[in-house]
Amino acid sequence: MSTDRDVNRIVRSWLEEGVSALPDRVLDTVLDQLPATPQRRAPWPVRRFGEMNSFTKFAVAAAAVALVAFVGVTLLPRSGGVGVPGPSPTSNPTQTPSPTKAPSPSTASNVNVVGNFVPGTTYVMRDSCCTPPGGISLSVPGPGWFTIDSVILGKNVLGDPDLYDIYLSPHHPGNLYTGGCNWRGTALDPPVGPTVDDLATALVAQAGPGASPATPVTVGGHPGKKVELSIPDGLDVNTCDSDGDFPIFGRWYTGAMLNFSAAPWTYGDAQHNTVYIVDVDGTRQVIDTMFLPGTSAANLAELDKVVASIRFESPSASSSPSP
Amino acid sequence: MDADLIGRAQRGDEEAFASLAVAAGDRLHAVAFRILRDTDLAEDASQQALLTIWRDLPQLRDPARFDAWSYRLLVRACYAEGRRTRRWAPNVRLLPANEPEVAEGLSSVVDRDQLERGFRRLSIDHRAVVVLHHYLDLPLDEVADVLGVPVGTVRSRLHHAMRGMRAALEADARPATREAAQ
Repeated sequence: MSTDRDVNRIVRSWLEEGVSALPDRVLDTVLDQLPATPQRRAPWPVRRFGEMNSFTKFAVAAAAVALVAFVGVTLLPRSGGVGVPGPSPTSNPTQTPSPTKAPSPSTASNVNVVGNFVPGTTYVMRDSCCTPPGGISLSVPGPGWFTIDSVILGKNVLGDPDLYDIYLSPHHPGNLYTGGCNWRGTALDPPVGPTVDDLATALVAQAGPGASPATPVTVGGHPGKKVELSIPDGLDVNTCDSDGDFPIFGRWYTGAMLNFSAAPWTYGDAQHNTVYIVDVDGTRQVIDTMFLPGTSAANLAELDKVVASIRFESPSASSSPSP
Repeated sequence: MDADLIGRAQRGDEEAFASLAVAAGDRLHAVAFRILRDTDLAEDASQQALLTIWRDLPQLRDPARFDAWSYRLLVRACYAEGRRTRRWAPNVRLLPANEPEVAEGLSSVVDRDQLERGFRRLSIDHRAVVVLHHYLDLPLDEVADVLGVPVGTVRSRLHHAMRGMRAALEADARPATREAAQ
């Protein structure tokens, strides 16, 4: 009779056999894809304010106060300038287009801020993954908005402290998946064209029967289209293909990310996304917003106000910050 | 793994990541091959895992956990390859452990084909535990950490996997023994 130790020894010996070296061509393929594979910051709040120790809370609070003071001192003298709380923006960006294309000034201290956003302060998201070169400036109308990675701005409104329940995030979709829940291995062929209308039309077609047509919209003074997308009723998103971390109802991917990553991120069944597709001086820019069923009208209005506050900064603004 | 390299790669330094990939690529591929038992699938899983590591590296808060974290991503990639190809039965097929014992010891009948067949009967879940524990020599609590499951689950999977391997080996040995006796 053989013992367990015999089996362990035999299996261990057998496991030692076989290939060990990763072929160079595989490594080369990986390295070749790095430029087209943006790194991803955590799309979920792993560690929130409430979990910090007292010292950390104090430090973050002090930093926030300093930031507010700095921005206030810097911007208050400008009549009607960025950072001065003014009249509330409109609640619906589709109804009241922003009047100008003038870029908002940015300072080094308000670019890619991570943490809680102070209402009335203008922040800039700037990342080659998903924003114009100069970045996207925006502000929040009330407390509770935060970001942990600088390119997803969200809020907990349904009581789940670990997930954004509403969010806004910039994207640069490359092509669409056709599979939805089972997105791996699917891609629009031929790929979606380069214009705003190309993407809007394709997203509506992807959504299938009953989808609303794309509607005209103006964001940050730039024309575009708005598309409303919902995960089909009754679909358990936990059954969808995963991107490695979470199941996702996949609609688009970026660059060479086919079968590797999908967007927009999925946070729950029946999630609704309003996707703004904007022509920013000839370049297509997507602003994805999301909310889950049960989100209050007041919070949806806040989300609209954040979108209405968006300005697309010129590249020169990023290289020559305003004082 | 070099914490400085990891830190630089987390900040988007592609050269630093290339060094990391060179350093980690062989062991990741070795593990992938041992779990999947297929060179092509293992290459796909390794490639997928390395790209995922690059993509998600900014989320790794403790560079000291790079190895365990990278194994976790690799095992996930192996799951994905397994689901995509479905070249094997997805569930464990355990043979009765109380079958009559063969007279001879395992060492006389074991060959690579028998081990291969026995291992391929295991699910990816069970293979991963066997490889992480018996190939990488990770203690069970570290295997649990890599897989994100309780230690008890790891212990149970390992027990069932090794019992399945043993039963398969002995079952495969039986016809040969019978033929030899005839």
